[in-house]
Amino acid sequence: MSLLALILVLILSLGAGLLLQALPRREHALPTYPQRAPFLGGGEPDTHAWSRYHVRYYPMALLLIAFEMEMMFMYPWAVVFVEKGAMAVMEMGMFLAILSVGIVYAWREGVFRWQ
Amino acid sequence: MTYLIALLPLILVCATAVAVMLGIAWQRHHASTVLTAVVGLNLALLSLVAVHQVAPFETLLVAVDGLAIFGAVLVLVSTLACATLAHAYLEHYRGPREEFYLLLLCAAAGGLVLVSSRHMATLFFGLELLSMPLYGMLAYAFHERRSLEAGIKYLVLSAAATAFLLFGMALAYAQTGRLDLAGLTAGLGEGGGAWGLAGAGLILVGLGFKLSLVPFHLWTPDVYEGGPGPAATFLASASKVAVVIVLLRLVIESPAFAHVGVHQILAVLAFASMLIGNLLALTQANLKRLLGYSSIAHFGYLLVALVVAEGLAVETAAVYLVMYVVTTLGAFGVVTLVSSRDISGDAAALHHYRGLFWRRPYLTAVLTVALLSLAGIPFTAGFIGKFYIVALGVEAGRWWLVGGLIVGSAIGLYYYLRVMVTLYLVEPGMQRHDAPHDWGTRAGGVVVLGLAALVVLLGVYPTPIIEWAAALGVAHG
Amino acid sequence: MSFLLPLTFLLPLAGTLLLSLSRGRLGERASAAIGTASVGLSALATAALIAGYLEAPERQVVTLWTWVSVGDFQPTLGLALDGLSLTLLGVITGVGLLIHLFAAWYMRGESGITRFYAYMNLFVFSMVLLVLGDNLLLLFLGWEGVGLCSYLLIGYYYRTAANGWAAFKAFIVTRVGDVFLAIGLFLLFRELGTLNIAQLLERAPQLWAEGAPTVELAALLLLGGALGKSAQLPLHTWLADAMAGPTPVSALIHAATMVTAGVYLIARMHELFLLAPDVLLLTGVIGALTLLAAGFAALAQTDIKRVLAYSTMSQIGYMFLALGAGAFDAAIFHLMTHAFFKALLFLSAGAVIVSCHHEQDMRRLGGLWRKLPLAYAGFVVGGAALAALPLVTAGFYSKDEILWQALAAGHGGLLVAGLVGAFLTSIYTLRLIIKTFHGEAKSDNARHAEAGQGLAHGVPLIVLMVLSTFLGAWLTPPLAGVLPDPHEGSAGWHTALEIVASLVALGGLALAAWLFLRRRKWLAEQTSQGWGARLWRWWHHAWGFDTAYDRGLVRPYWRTVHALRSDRVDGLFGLVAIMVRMTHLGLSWTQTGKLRFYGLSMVGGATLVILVLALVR
Repeated sequence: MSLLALILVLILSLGAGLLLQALPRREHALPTYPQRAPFLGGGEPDTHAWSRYHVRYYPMALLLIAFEMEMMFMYPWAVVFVEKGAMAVMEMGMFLAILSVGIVYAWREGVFRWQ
Repeated sequence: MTYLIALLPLILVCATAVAVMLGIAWQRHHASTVLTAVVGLNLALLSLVAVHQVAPFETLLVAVDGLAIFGAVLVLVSTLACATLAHAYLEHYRGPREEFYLLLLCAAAGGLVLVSSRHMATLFFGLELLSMPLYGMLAYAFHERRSLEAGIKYLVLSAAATAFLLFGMALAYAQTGRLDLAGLTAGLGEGGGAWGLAGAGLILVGLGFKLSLVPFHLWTPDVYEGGPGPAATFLASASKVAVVIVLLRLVIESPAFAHVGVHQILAVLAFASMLIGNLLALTQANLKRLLGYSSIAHFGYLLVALVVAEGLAVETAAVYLVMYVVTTLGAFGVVTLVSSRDISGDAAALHHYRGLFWRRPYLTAVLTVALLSLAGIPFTAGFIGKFYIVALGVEAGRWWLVGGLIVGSAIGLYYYLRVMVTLYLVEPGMQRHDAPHDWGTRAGGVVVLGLAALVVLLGVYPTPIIEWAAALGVAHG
Repeated sequence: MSFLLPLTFLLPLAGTLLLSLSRGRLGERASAAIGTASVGLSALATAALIAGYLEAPERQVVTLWTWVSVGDFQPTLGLALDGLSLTLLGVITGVGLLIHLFAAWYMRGESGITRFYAYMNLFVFSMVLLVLGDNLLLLFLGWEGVGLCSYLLIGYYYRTAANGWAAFKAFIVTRVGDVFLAIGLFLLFRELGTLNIAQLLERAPQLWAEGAPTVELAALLLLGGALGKSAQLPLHTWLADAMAGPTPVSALIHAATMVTAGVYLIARMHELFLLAPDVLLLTGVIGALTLLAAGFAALAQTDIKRVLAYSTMSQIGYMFLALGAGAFDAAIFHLMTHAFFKALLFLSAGAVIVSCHHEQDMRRLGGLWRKLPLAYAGFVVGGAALAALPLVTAGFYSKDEILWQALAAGHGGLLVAGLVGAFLTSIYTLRLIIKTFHGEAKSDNARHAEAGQGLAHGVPLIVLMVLSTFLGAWLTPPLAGVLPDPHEGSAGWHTALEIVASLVALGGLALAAWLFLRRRKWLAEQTSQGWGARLWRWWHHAWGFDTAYDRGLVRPYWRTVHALRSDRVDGLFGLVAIMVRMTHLGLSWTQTGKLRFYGLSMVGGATLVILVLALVR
């Protein structure tokens, strides 16, 4: 009976899922502007929270992974670096090389051109 | 050194992916991209010979044994077929074509990881590496609503399935404190605790989604229909093969999966998949959807081998997988080739195939052979696979499953024959023979013709596959 | 040497594939060349096999591969070569080659030559498989394959509806026999646990005593299959209509090879039949009845090919008679010589038909012997062999052997039937020759006959002519050790029988000569009025079997089908379909296309999984 909790969770999500089925396809229109304006410390926001971003931000976000996220791996790598020696340098080198291929690709695809 | 050799196929495929990416960055060129991808995949396939010399080879994360090599061959062959088909398919595509191969190679790498994984980390990693590029591949023709829909549907549901999978892994970890298969086996012992069992159940849900077993099957037809031909082909062949191999490994090795409850669940899933998959296909008017339903049913059949999980189970599953992959590639190959001439969307509705025989006799012959094989008619590959499953089920006394298989096959025959009849109908005022004259010598044509020949050949002379399957060594953790 | 054995059927298969995949791009000559060459190479391989076998006569088994192996069930794809199959193999490829060659002449100018040769090669492939298979499953595969080819080739001129119906008839009637055969195979497999012929024949005597009901039943079922394929009573009605196909087809399939498959089957399974003496006797009786019935029918035919068709039935009747008398080797010997002289007769008939602008009604021919000397010679030599003219013909030796064995085995009735049959054979053979070649030409087609020319026309006829003489009888099938030894008897009786048989054959010829040359008017009067006319009509319609079957089987069947069209019982079965359809509709509802519902079903599935696990634990 130790699974009771799990079953409970699942049944709850099942219920939630069932409710979702009945979810109306946005029955009434959204409230008018002042009511749905996000609260901004008393001031009026100049853009809406749901405003659209330009699609070029998405490749930028992806690039962040290529440029910055490898740093995350570098911390644990730094810990074992002394222990492993040249092998570790090589491995990190390969990793960075592959990542930089991604950057080259993005560059050639014109992600960095800002227009 | 052994380490490098054992991982050579994976390294080669990844290197090819990087090379393709660099190639695209340097200069876009469709044919040379395909060439690079195909050469890389072939090299990987060749390197399996070397891998065979060092097998079995095990590390904490991967086990390169007979089963893994077997799976790798199937994954690589399917990927190769997909790459060649994609070449024909994307010829007239207006958007960028080259990235498709990049995604394909990444997914293949994921498949290679998956078939040799013996650790929850590699399992998860492989599964995700396999699935992530598939989202992109399915939504590749993103200016078409259906393709986009397929990609998004698969993305959302696959993420949900992954959540179940991860939850299951977490529960198993909570029970045993280990994540490698050997450790799990030791930790769970006979029967396993409640949480270990629940973990097994949830992992099953996650993998069952990928195999589109009932009741996790609902996405299949929509995604197959919407995705571009080669992507659907990959989804139906390589992706499923890799997942089946993982499941096979789990069922054989892990005691949590040997629990009677899990077996019963597997049996129920198998039974439901066979019947419901076939029933859903009954009046389907879209060939790709129909093939999707049929794949649900086929994995229901295959699951019988996993339910029995003793005696000839591994051999049966392996034989069935080969037969299924060859046949499915043939069927999807024809759909892809017919579609590739049609620039606006895939030609998958049955009316596209009315009287196809009178226009493109060879392609129709290939499709006919593939459908016969799917239906399990003797002297086709499909028969051998089905025969093995039935023999295994009878041997193990799983009468319900055997009954379900037979009823399912009977229903299946109806809709396969319906398609076949359509192929040969004579339509008034139709044009004759509109295929370009050199189609047979093009890569795509050669591939489907070869596959059809293989389907017949394996139906008549299955010995090599059977011997191979019988000799599969599974490294025990 | 073992690689030669598969080559004998792989080459014709390759020919078929090549021809059928050419998509009509091959010309007439290329098609004929490919079709003939593949069989020719196969014949060469056979010749090498024969040479090897004569050097070291041993049974050769080549196991190609095991098809599937699940537990004890391991059907192997194996070939077995012994004297029996070698004899058949030689006939199929040798005579087959000659007929393929002749067809190159016969079929020129026809449309669809590629199709013709593709079917013919497929036939040779199936037939070789039939005789080489070392298990009954493979034999059955070949059996069905030749049936299919027979169907395809009878209906070769498919633009005429009647030919299509003839093909239908042949297919359906032989199918009746095939069903018996299939049930027989099931029975054998259930009882003996194998379909491998060698194992089967080894286990059968251990399991069954002579005359045990099961073995009688099994033999009876096999006999049913043989009767259908070999056009014996009561499943003989298809053969005469099968003449709708091109003449080389009639020569190859409906005279020399396929129709004798039943004889081969029984000879191959003779140990089983020896365990079932009643069925063996029945075989002989059916053979005797068929040979008489077909002999009378042949007397009253007007179409050249139909005469030959009935004479084929009659000659196969002899073979069945021999089988029934336990003289298996005599049956196979007659099978071989019959293949020679009947192929010769059919090819000569083909030569006449083409020369006379596709006129094959004997009443409209005549006076051809000067114009078509080669065809005439073929008819004379072949006819002499058919009528078993003493000493100089191949047919004499084989038929004599059959009659002698019937006597030695003590089957007096069979012997008498055989002698009467021989008498009839002489009469209808001479009638055929006289009507076709002598007298005056009775139509423009016959008057303007053009003799065939070229090697493809001449060579097969001449070779077969040589083989139909006593030279052909020198080719003794190497059957020792394969089939039981023939009965021994006193040499004196043998000589006496030979003399009697010769006198009967000569008597028949004399009577025919007298009737058809001297008393032609009288004969015409007799057959056009009163009882004579009735008898003539009766024989012309081959004892009215067709009408009887039509009235007794076909029409009641149609009526039943018609009556059952709105059948309640059928509704019960329809219910299954309706149920499946309803379920399908019910399930289709789940394919909403909505992501949220798909997600829900996944959660639902997971809940069920965990619930089951919690409950089972």
